[in-house]
Amino acid sequence: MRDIRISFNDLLELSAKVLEKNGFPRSKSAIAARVLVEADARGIHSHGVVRLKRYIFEKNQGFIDPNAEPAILYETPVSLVIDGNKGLGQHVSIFAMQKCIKKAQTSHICFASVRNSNHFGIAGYYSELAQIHDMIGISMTNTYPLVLPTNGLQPMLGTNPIAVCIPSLAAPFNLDMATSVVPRGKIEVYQRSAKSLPKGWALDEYGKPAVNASKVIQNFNNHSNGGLLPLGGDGEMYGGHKGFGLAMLVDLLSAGLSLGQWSRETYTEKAGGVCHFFGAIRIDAFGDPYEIKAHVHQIIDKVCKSTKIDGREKIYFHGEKEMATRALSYRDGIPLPSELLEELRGLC
Amino acid sequence: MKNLYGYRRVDGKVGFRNLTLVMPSVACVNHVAELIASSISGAVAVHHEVGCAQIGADYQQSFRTLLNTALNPNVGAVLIVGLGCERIDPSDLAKEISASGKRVEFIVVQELGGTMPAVDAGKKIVIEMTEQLAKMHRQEVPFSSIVLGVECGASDFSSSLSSNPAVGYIADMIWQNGGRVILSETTEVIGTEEILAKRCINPAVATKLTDRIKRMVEYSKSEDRDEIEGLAIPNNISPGNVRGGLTTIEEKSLGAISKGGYFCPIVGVVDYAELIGQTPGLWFMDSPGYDPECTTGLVASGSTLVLFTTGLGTPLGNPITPIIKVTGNRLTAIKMQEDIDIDVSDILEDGASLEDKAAAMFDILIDIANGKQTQSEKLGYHDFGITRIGPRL
Repeated sequence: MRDIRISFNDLLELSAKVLEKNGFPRSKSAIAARVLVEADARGIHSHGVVRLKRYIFEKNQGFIDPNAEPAILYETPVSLVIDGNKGLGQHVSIFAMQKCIKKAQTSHICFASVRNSNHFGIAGYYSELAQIHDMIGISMTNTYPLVLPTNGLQPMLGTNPIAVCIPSLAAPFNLDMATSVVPRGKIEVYQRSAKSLPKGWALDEYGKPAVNASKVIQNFNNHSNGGLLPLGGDGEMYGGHKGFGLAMLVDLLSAGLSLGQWSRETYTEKAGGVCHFFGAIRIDAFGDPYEIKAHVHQIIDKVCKSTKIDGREKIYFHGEKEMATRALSYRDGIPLPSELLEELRGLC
Repeated sequence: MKNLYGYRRVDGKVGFRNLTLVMPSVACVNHVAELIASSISGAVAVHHEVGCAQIGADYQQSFRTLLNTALNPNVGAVLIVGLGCERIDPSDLAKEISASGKRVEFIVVQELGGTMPAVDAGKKIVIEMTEQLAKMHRQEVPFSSIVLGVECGASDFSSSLSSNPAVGYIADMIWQNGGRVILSETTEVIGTEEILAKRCINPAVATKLTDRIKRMVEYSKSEDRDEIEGLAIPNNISPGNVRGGLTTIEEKSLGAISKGGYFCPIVGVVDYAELIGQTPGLWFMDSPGYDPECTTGLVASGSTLVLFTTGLGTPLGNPITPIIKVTGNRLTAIKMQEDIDIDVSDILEDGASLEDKAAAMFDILIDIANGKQTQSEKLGYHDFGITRIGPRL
């Protein structure tokens, strides 16, 4: 496979066209394309335009209703419950995050729990939207169940990512992490290269460390026992129960508060049923925004400038690598496999 | 000393704000530009009175001011809004701006079919521009990247004795760190020609400077003088200056030039709104003393920060560059506190040292460069005025 570079805007146009030609309305296609291209630009290709085919498939299967509009089910000055009505995940999520920001502008904070949505791309895209308004942004989602609870054999939880973006004087603290040790995509990479899996990533159907990547994927597809380990790995020795706790937290805030489908119940019958949770918090709710941003920056700076281990390149803070990759991608184009680009052009 | 953080642009220049500028190419579409920028966080529109019915030097000066304002590194991206029949061609402006590597687009209201289609099209572009700029973050930059404009307005006795000399210390500090400072207001350096000429790096710069001052002297003598209480006052002093204790232009000028430091050499003289060169030191911009026009010129010449001293108090701000207002008059500091950023009145009232106050002022300057809002930014001041040379056609 050969990577070729395509400009940010060309990829945006191509991706939006792919969706539009396949039955998604223009405005929603543009939004979804934007979030996917942002992922590719940051080097997170597992969440990039490679997903377009999947969205079309899910639309054809009836999981995604391309014309659906989200609806507000319940609201207070500081909270929202939103029904995604099976709409495109990105469209529903932008709607929810923008509502949060709008409410936070008057009420200082706002949180939204969203049900009945679909795959929304990278969680960090939404948390970052708040940052431009000098707000802390929070974004989470449940996903297809692949992760085992500590001591459990059945995959009950998704890789349930948590993203939090805190404005700073320089680049923001931009945490965007799955709550499993590795995502599904990483197992697929090992499957393609036929390498055995390192211990601590996944367990097989008997609860033993899985080494065969193909078998793990097969178990995912057959809804068999076994699956990915939560952050911290197997058992409690390295804190696996803490990762399990974080994954639970995501499900409870997104599906729990919205009365939606939790990870294990997603993608059943004819609905994805994915649930999200968003939040926006004005930093001036805590005092002078400049003082706060300067202090946040100082903390990040001191951590990153602390003594590093010999031979390690540097101490990165969260979001730093992605933003550096994005800047290069925006300047020089986004590297993507030529086969993928051909495939996308074929879908137009 | 605090660290300095700025936005590094494609052309290597450093800005301290990260704005998307919506610029009308002619006054007729000022409102369209305002409607586009008004609801978008990070976008700003300028309101001006030029763009058509101008010829010769007057036209060129207006074009240069609009172009160089867009080139200011506090601006990250530009949308030009044209009407379609004006003298200043929006596509010409856009072409010259894009040569700097800055993102620029233009729309033409007559082609798009009126106000609302133009506002819709413009908003779409500006939202995309601001989203891109939001992904750009401040990075640590050297002090040599500062281009500081210095300016005084509504001056009184305290300006000459405290705020201007304190700003002079800052000018010297910036020069010592390899940065550039722009002094202007030709009207307000009249009478100090000999002092300034000695500070010029070569005779050519000195001659250019004294010629510009001479021209301003002739012009200000060409009209009748105003009178206050039966006495004629020089045309280059405002009635407020006189009430504030500045009775001669020499008094006013000697205070005004102290903003430009004591040691930093004068390295060049530029026209109104002309870009200054790369040499560190003090640059002189030939401009009127009228505050909104002078600050507009300073920003177009490249100032990314402006220290503005005021005795009687003025609320002025600029859409692109933070205007940091300093007063040495305690009464003004109390009466107009929401318009004043830095109070140095303890120099005259309590005997505080100029050095100490200058050091404290430098700290605040860095905070504002790093993103702290000025009082005029908080209040939403967007003063923008372009000096005219000839009559309109």
